[in-house]
Amino acid sequence: MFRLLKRKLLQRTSDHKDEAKAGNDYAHIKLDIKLDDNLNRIRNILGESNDVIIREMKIGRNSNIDAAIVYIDGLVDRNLINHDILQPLMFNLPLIRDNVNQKHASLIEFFKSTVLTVGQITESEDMVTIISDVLSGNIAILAEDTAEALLIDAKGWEKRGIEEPGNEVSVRGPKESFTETLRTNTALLRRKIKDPRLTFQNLQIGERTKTFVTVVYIKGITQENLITEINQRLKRINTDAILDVGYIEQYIEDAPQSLFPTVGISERPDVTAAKLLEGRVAILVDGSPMALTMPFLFLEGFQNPDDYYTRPFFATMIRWVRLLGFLLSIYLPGLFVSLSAFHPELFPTELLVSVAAAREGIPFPVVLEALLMLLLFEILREAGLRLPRPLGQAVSIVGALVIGQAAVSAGLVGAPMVIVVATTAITSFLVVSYADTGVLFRLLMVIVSGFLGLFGMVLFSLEILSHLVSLRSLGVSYLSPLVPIDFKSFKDTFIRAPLWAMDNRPESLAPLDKKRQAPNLMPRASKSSQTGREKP
Amino acid sequence: MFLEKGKISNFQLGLLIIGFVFGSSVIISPGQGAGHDAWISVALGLMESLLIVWIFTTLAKQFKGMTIVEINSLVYGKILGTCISLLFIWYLFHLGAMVLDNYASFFKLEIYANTPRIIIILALVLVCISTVGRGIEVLARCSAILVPITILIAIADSALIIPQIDLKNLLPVLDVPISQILWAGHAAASFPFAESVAFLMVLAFVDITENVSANFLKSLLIVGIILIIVVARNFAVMGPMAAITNYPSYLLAQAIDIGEVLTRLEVLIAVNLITMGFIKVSVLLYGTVLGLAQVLNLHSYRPIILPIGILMAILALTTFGNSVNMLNFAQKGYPVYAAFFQIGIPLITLVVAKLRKLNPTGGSKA
Amino acid sequence: MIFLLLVGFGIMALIQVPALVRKRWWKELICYSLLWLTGLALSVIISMGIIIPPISAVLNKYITSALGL
Repeated sequence: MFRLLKRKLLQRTSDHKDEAKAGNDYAHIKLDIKLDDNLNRIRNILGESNDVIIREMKIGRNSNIDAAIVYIDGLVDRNLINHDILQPLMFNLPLIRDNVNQKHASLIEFFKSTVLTVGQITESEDMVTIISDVLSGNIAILAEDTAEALLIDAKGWEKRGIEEPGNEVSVRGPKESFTETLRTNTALLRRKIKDPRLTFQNLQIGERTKTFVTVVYIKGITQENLITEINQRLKRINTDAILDVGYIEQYIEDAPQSLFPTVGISERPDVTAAKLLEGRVAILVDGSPMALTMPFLFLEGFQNPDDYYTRPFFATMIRWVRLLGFLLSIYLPGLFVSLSAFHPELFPTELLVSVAAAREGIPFPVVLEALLMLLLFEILREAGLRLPRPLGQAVSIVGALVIGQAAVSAGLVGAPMVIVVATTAITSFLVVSYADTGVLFRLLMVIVSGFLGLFGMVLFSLEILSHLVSLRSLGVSYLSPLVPIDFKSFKDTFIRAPLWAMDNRPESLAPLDKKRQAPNLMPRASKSSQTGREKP
Repeated sequence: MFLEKGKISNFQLGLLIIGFVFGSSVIISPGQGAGHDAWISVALGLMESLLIVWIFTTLAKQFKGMTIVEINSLVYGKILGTCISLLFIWYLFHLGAMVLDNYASFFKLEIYANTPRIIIILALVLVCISTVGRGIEVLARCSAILVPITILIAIADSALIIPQIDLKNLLPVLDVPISQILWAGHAAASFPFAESVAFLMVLAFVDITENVSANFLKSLLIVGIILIIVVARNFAVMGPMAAITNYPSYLLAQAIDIGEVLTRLEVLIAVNLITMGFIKVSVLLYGTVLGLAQVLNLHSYRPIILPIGILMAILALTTFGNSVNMLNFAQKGYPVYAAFFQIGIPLITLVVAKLRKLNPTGGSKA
Repeated sequence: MIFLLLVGFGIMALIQVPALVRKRWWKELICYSLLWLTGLALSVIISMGIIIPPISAVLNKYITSALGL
């Protein structure tokens, strides 16, 4: 234990930069003139896997020039190789030597400009680029006597098609969701925003996974320093693997020790596009069907795409229902526990009688009972997520019968407690973004209530309020526009003002282009369409 | 000094002052000792404190961006200034402990008879400690949310009790001996209005210092009027009982019963107390910790918040001994004791500063 | 009770002292230790039942006797 203390006392932040760079010992190798040397090096680096295909061939009029293509089977589109690379190279190159000497600087340049009938070609002489491109689904073409390689984008692997979003269901809106392929996702965003100023910045993060990450923003709306800050944070990431957008989230979030998320995640392109249009920055990760948006403010969690696709009165009412549900899901168990244990006089008299009757004969104190039920609910929920489909029925029956009926009859829990926990469970699904936060919050609230009743609950809420007030997401105050108060942005918080009234973008993100639409857009009938007013 | 980088706006400062002054007056009515003319005493106290506050704000405006500790060392020189600052810091610390004790006594008496006092005190102190650790800006923002809610509840409370008001209880006016009224008036000035001397540690961080005095006075007026109404209402509804009960506002709220639906509103009063008590103790804790850090020239006030908070809790446990002592002190000793810190130190500092024709050289944001 | 106090104060120190030492803020460390020790001493004394003279009551006595209120 003293060693631990000593280490903590003398700890200095060490520089891990050199440690994480594994397997980059081919960093400075450039290509050689001799084809065989290059191919041997590539074979050494890529190893013995049998999906690494190195196809050697002879091209030219007299079949006297050695060439080879390198690719990973499974990542590339086979048709493209056969028709657009091998065919031109092998069949249609009669005059290659003469052409090279007369017009083109090199063989490779000749291929690129005249021969190969493919869309995306780049050239490189650096082994790192070549290897990383081949591993990403490109094809490398090398030739004898040339110290350059051509890299052709030929990505064509099996992927999931565009499906309905599983987690964020919208009744009226579009039913597309992101998929695992980065290019599909960027295309989905492009379809929503056809503005030429929509910018995609590419990075590769992760020493071993070398995952493609794209930072998306709209130039001219998004504040410059938000983009710079995000880029800085992304550059700081120095890890082996980025397997999902969640990894990126955990490396760049503002408050890793807080219960509340400071990064927004969505699997819908329309939601992401709307956030981009307000001035946020989105991050797409190859291999993950979710997009990350920053900054994320507290009130965004209560916004739903359906709010904007329906008319304002209903949308506002649903927002209030959502807020109420959220508050219920957090406070109800704690409230019940504190009233039962500390302030029974606050129950209306008839209710008090039934609650007291239900509590009769239950061996646990209310706090334990509540904690047990909440934990049980979490177990059910988690099991329900993971179980194989045929068993779904069994679990719901077990859950309902065992807990609901039998436990109450056996006197293990009281019926009011079951009602409380059931209500909590249902309302916890109202606000998707804060579902995990809510779980923790709820448990802590119950524990605090068990200690100090209502007083404890209020104090804990004060502590959370103070924490929320101090939280910032990418420099923007988490509770804007409530704190600091900005009445102009209230149009989209607890109410949802009609679309034609929301002329400006929310101030909290300080967008460079404040105006969203022209003023005075309230719909009204034009003079010519007014019937019943014919002149006599 | 780099100790506090946050800035608060005038609006937030105003709400913070309201929250602070409202503090424990949610349940402990000012103007004790003047019987049913207490509302007159409160009005007198308000007027007296407006004058006192004028002294603070003049000091703050002359020495922009400097807290009272820095002003003291500038005006009196290092050694004497440090001594006076330490005295002032002691006052803030002691006041914080007294507020905590008032507060814990209320909860122990009315609601949690079985919980040990120290737990109640510690629970609040821990929340205050973590909030102070986040800086004055967070505190100001919290008050911006909490104070309007409190004011609404206070007004609603008073409005709902109107059916039970019997103005005859306030008559005859001014039949309490004038000396008692005046003394109670001064007591009302020292608790709670002029306790805002604590803000001499906070005024340095307001972004526009010119409007500070108007703001301060406005806030005091708002709180003052609310308190006058509250005190008058207490006596109007309960008659002479209001002078005897420990917590008249709480008792009053228990009497509200509109259509058998709006009952149990005293819970809201208790919640009000928690939030306003939180603000008051946090400001006092902040003043103490920042003052100590400035006196000792520390890098940051964050490490010492926790031990000072714990010490404040311990002092709260032992400072009064029993509630008789507390009432006695509140009526007799405190107005004198506090006057030294609320009026004495600022006034003398202002006079000396004027005599020495000082100009401020540095500032808290230098 | 005293054990709880010791644990509480111990946890407090364990959390805050390493950070101070790492940053080499000696003045803050001394100040912190003094306050910590005072707190520990006072809480142990109180929990042992020894009554500390209530400060406000003492002040009150002096003030009222001096001014004859």
